[in-house]
Amino acid sequence: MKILILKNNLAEGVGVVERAVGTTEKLPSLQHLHLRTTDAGLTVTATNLELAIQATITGKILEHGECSVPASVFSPIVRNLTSERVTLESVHKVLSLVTDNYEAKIPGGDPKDFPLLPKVSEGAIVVSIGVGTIRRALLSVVGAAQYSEVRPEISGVLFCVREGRLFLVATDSFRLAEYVVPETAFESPSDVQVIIPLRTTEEILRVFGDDEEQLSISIDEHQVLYATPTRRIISRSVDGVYPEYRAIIPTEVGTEALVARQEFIAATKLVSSLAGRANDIMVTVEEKGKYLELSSGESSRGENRYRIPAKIHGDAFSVVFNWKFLFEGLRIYHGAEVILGVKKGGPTLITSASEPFIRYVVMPIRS
Amino acid sequence: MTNTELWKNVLGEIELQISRPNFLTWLKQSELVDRNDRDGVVLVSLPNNFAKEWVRNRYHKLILGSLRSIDSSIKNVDYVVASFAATSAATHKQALLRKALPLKPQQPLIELRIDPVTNLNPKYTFGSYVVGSSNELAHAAMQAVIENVGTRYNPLFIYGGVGLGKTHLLHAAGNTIMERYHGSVRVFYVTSEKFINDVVWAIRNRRMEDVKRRYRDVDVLIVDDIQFIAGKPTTELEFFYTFNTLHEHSKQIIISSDRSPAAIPTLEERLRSRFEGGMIADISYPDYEMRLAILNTKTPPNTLQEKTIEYIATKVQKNIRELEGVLNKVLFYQQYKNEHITMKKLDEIISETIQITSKNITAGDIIRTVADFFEVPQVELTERSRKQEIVEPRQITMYLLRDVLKLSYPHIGEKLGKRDHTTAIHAFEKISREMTQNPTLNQKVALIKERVYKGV
Repeated sequence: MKILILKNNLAEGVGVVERAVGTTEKLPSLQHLHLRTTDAGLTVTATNLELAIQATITGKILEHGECSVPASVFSPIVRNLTSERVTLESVHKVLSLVTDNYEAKIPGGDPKDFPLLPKVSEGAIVVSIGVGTIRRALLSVVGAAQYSEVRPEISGVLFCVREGRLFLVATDSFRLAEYVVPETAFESPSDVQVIIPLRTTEEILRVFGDDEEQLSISIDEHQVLYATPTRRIISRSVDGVYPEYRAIIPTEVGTEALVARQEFIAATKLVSSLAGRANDIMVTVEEKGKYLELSSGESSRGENRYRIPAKIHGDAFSVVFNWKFLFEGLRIYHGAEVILGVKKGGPTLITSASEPFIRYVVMPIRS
Repeated sequence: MTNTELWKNVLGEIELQISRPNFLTWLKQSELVDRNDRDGVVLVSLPNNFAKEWVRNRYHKLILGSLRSIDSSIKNVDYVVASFAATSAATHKQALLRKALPLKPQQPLIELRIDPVTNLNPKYTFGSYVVGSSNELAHAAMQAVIENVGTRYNPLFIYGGVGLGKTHLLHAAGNTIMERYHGSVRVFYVTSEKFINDVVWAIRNRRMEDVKRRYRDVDVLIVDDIQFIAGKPTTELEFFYTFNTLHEHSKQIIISSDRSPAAIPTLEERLRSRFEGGMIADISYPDYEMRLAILNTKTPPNTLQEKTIEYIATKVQKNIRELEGVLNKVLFYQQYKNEHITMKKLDEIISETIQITSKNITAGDIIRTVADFFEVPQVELTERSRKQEIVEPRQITMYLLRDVLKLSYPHIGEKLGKRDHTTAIHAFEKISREMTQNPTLNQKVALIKERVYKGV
């Protein structure tokens, strides 16, 4: 194998895949990066057997071939190279890396020992979506999910095509976020439902950064392949049935408060400074009030309150929230105003008129 | 030789031929899960897709050879990925996050606990189900069904008015069955609305087979509010087939409805007769003692005065959901204001909860609905006719005018054929009394009331 390549491209590609390098595995090849030339350039692969990441880097191929090198040696060298161009050449399992003023020889492993990537079956359903769209959707919901050993089926993000729309949903059983992608922003040959492991969603957000590209997501029974022309992630899906979450989102609320979002965020952060161990802050609206009052603390620890002007429709209420959950529900929106919809004894719904495709539901703390 | 022993021998042999890290990574967590003697195929489970790919490509010959040297009837090996082990995905960061979560007082989203496989809501149990004279038959029948799934009463048909606890009973039964038989009996709960949607979806997407499989591959099918499928021919037909398939195989079917099979007007005859073929049990209005018992179970200790609870039990009579609604409002009020509730406020809460629907109903609505229900001309009710078949409808009208609209007795008498106010009083008392003794009358009144509220 011999290839001439730009240092920046190589460093970027290696940076993308090296997060998938296994750290604890006993098999040495799992701590390696696998390099192989293809017609498109140099393909670098790493896997920890839970997921695999691949990046294809353009370069001038002088001789086809493959090799495998320890990531812990190869990647710092690539990162710190000072020259613009690099030549990689592998002879007898030793990779030499040559620039105009630097030369390194790295003993590698047998490329045949590198794990084979599982293939997505022929019958896989392929959904096509803009990278920007899936990123926005995932960023909106992923904060509501939490890894749970007891309930693996919610330790991930639900990806569900139904009735012509794509739903992304995450929950940790205390709050739930839903993002709806309209028909025009993606293509899918049929309805499909899969749960993407949380770890994989993190990698998707990291690996696919170019909002202009199209991401193709191939889903079969056991695994999902996420691919753009130059990057690929292959990961298993979470087994299990996602809960029928739609019943949770309240269709009607008792009281609605329209609030400026930035001020609500600022108030939540400020008032949280005296919140108790349960992160509890109280949100109160008085009968015919014109304010939303946030308060926390108690006399021994110190107490504080913050009043935000609000347009209120409905009865008085007083609810206690974990401020982090409330904050997350405000953070995912971008518009100037949000609507806090409170139902007595039930979940609270946070929505925004400017982003009707996002819904965030949070349960209060029992006071 | 058992599957486990066989596989242990094979692994012992392979371990000698490949490197230790390779063995630990790819084969340590493998298992022989199935062995089909007829076609000589064994099924091996592996921890992940990567292992499956690797073993199938690199070790297949080794494994097959080793298996055949022990048992020559084995012809082939297939590989599957074991079910997602929850432990594999935990990263350090996530473990830290988990520790930081202050979960104690945080309330969960209850509906999320609904089991997606059975659709059962764990919130409903027999522990919180109060049994009294009005529902003891239904409760006893349900217990018999739980003891003898599919053999005792099949189908079990439970009917009763809105908010009397049918859904609670159904979920509780499903949950108990799951618990008692440790999940070996497959339970599936569905509302008839969901069933209709599934059938419609299946027709549109040509996936009828999926729906058939989902509903027929169960041991206990629970269908809530069956009355809604009446008048939807395709759904009724599909349900009929499902019903027959399950029934033939002695699978338990539990159905609820707001009225008896005979009283669902557009229900197809063959379905009706099938529903009537098992056990029919009704749930009627709870009596005072039972209402009191319900309130006492639902009230957290030391929050309400005894007399407040008794007063609510006296006032709210017809609907357990309303009973709970009033209770929750009272509790909330007390918590919010931090003071004991006054009788005046209590009356206010009760009236705003249970009368909310009667605001736009007029005497004319009631008279028209009663006339429609009994199929008698409206004028007969409002004239001085003494025909026998008019007597009961007229008395019911009087009862409803008083009960729903709180009209004065003289006014009621005046409206229905210029009668004396004592006639109206007599009618109201007679119907009130008979309703407690005569379930058919009770049913009729409830249905008429429902129609009045819905403005049918």
